[in-house]
This record gives sequence, C-alpha cells and structure tokens, in this order.
Amino acid sequence: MKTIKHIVLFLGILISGISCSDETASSLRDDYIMKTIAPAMVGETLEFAYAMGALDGVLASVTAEVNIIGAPGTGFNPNSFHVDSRGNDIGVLVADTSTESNISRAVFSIDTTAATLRFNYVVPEEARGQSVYITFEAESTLGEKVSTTTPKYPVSKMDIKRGIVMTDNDVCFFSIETMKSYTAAEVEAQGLTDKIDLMYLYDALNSDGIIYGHALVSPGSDEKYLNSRIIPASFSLNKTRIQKQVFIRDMQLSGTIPANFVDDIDLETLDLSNSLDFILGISNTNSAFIETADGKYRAYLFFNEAKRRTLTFGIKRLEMQ
Amino acid sequence: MKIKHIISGLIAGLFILYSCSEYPIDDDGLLITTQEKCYIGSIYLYGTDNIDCLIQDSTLIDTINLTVNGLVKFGTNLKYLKPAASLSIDSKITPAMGVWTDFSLPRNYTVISGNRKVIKEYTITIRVEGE
Repeated sequence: MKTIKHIVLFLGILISGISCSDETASSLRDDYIMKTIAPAMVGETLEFAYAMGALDGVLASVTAEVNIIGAPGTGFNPNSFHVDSRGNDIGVLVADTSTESNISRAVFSIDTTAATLRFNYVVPEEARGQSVYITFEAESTLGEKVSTTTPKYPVSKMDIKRGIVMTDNDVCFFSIETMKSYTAAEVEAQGLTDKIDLMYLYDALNSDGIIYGHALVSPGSDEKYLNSRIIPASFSLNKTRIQKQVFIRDMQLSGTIPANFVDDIDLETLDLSNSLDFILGISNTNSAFIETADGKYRAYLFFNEAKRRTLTFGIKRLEMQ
Repeated sequence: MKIKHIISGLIAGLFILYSCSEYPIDDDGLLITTQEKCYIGSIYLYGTDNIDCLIQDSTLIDTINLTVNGLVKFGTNLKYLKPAASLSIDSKITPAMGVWTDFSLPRNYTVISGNRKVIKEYTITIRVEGE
C-alpha cells in the first residue's frame, strides 16, 4: 500500500514537472512598452517598442494585429533600435514591413536572434471614443511563436489641431466649430457669421493708456474690451466663456516638457460659469479654456507664440453631448 | 546610573508639559501666544490663472483706519478672486482666505492677534484699473 502511494506521489511530481517544462519550452521571449504617454487622439500616433529574442534559431517574422484598422501610417518601422551611450536611438535595418487591413507584418531580412521593432498605430476616425488594443506575435525560423496583447487604450473624443494663426485686423476671427481662423470677408462669404466665437486683437495700450496686449475677445464682449474694433453688423454677438491659464501647458500642443496633458475629463468637468468673455495680456505658453455660448463645444487653447500682432496656437476641442 | 536617567526623563517631561501649557491651542488648532500685534501686512489676489492680479504699487493698506484699498489689472474678474494675506506674527484672519471670493463689493475681514485679545476688522475694497 505504501509502495503504491509512493508511486502515485512520484508520478504526480513527474507530471507537474513535465507541465512546467512545457510552459517554458518555447525558446522565444517577447515584451513591449508603449512609448507614447499622451492621450490617444484621432490622427495622432501611438508608438510601441516590441522586443523579441530567440534562444534557438533566429527571428523570422513579427505581426501586430489591431482591433480597429489604423489610419495610413500604421505599421512597423523596418529598423531595430538600440540606445547608444548618449541616449540616442540608433536604428539598424532588419526587416521588410507591410500593413494590410488590421495586420501589420515585419519579415526579418537578416539573421538575428533579438530585435526591438517600433510599431506605430495612427489612430483612425473610427476609433474615436472607442478602445484600441494590439496583439503582437513573433515567430522564429524553428516555427516557434510567442505573443502578447496590450491592455485596451481608450481613444479620446476630442479633436486636436495645431498651428492656427490669427493676425490683428486681418485673419482675426475664430470659430470653435470649424477650428479655423478667418478674415471678416471670409466669414461673410462662407456664411459663418453665427459661428464666430472669438476675435484676436493686439494693442500695447488701450485708449486710456492701460496695458492691453494680445487679446481674445468675444464678439459680444463689452465695447471697452474690443478696444475700438468694430464687429461687422451681420455677425452674431456670441458671448464665449473663456478663462486664461498660465501654468497649464499641454505637451501635445506645446511640444515641450513637462509632460502635462489636457484630456477628455478635463473638458467634461470644466466649469466656466464664473468666467468672463475675453482674456487680455496673452503671452507665449499661456493657455485658455473656452466654452461656446450655446455650450456645444468646450476647448483648450495653447498659445505657442504671441508676437508682432500675430497669435499662433493649437486647440483641443470636445463636442459636448 | 539608572536614577540619573529617570531624573533626566522626569525633567524633560515636565519641561515639555510646561511648554505645552505655555501656548494653549484655540478652536482652529492654532497656538495662542503672547503676541499682541494685529494687522494685515500685505495682500494678494489670485485669478483663475493663479497669478496675483493686484497692482501692488497702487494698493494701500491703512493699519490705522483698518482699510485696504486695492487696484487690480484691467480686465480682471472681480467676482472670482482668491485672496491671500500676510499677517502680524501668530495672528489669524476670518473668514478664511484662499477661497474664491466676490470682491465686486467691499469685504470685511477680522484679524485676531496671537494672544487672541486684540481684534481688528478690516474693510477690503478692490477696484479695477481703468474703471
């Protein structure tokens, strides 16, 4: 009886040992990091670094399968990257790449046992408000496979646009709905007279000799803040709520550190009920939160440059439900 | 040796107890001290951009008539400002500052000295530059 017990125990240990060795039988290993730390937004790129290594054989190919087909530009970078002693990314051409539908592929063109490939996913319009995830799979020349799936990344409902330029007394009208700036004639010609939310103007001083600077003023603002500018009679006198900020610098619009980001929740929970309908004294790297008079849109503006009667800025805009 | 330690401990304990009883704590958890001075030394008004919009050169604090007459920059939203002030040592002020406050009308603030025996009520009046 005792002998049978020992045999059963021995078999149990043997089986568990085999099970464990099965799990580690593949000589392929992989892992990834998401290099992008900004919120996922339509038109923006999510960058991943997918690393793989083979103990036996060499690497044959790698695929990335996404749940929502990426916009043009989605795919693997054919270079494998490593970092030199100065922290620079050094790329070495290792693969031929292609993307078809929701699957991107890289077939190794050199014999290598380890590589780190960059995968870029350009967020398509179809992903707005959805979640995206990616399954990476590597295969060796021995036919061994290894795969890993990322968590689901929520895609922002916001729109983003950079490099909007406004000039004093010229291209000085801005519509949050179209996210474009216009001259008065363009507004009239395109039938946008009810869609102008802000006017840009610059004066060093106002008529009383008080410092004024670069300003964004609603068409419906009090006359003293318009500083002698005339709003065309056909324009709706919208009162856009706007709040100036100095220390909130979104990295996607500023392009510089620190890595702060304005995300959907910031605009969803924004309360501008105590805000005015103009801001004055705009400087480089200032920003502003705004809400259209009808409450349809909320937005964040980052002012990249305010000089020589010109204002250059980017916008993140959320359409409220 | 042990007796020395016990005596030292007792002396330290008594000293701590004495120190605490010297400065009792008020309802706000602040020390009540012997300081009699009671005034506002300076004032700041922060907008939503967390920048002080008060023009300090044009702001007058009158510690005799207990008034503060301040001037803020053109375009400032008087109805939504966060005040802060420096006070005489160990003093406190009510209502508490650091909260969004409407300064479109004069506001009264009470400064209470460190010994809680001197009380002065200041009136803070703010105007907007050019208005």
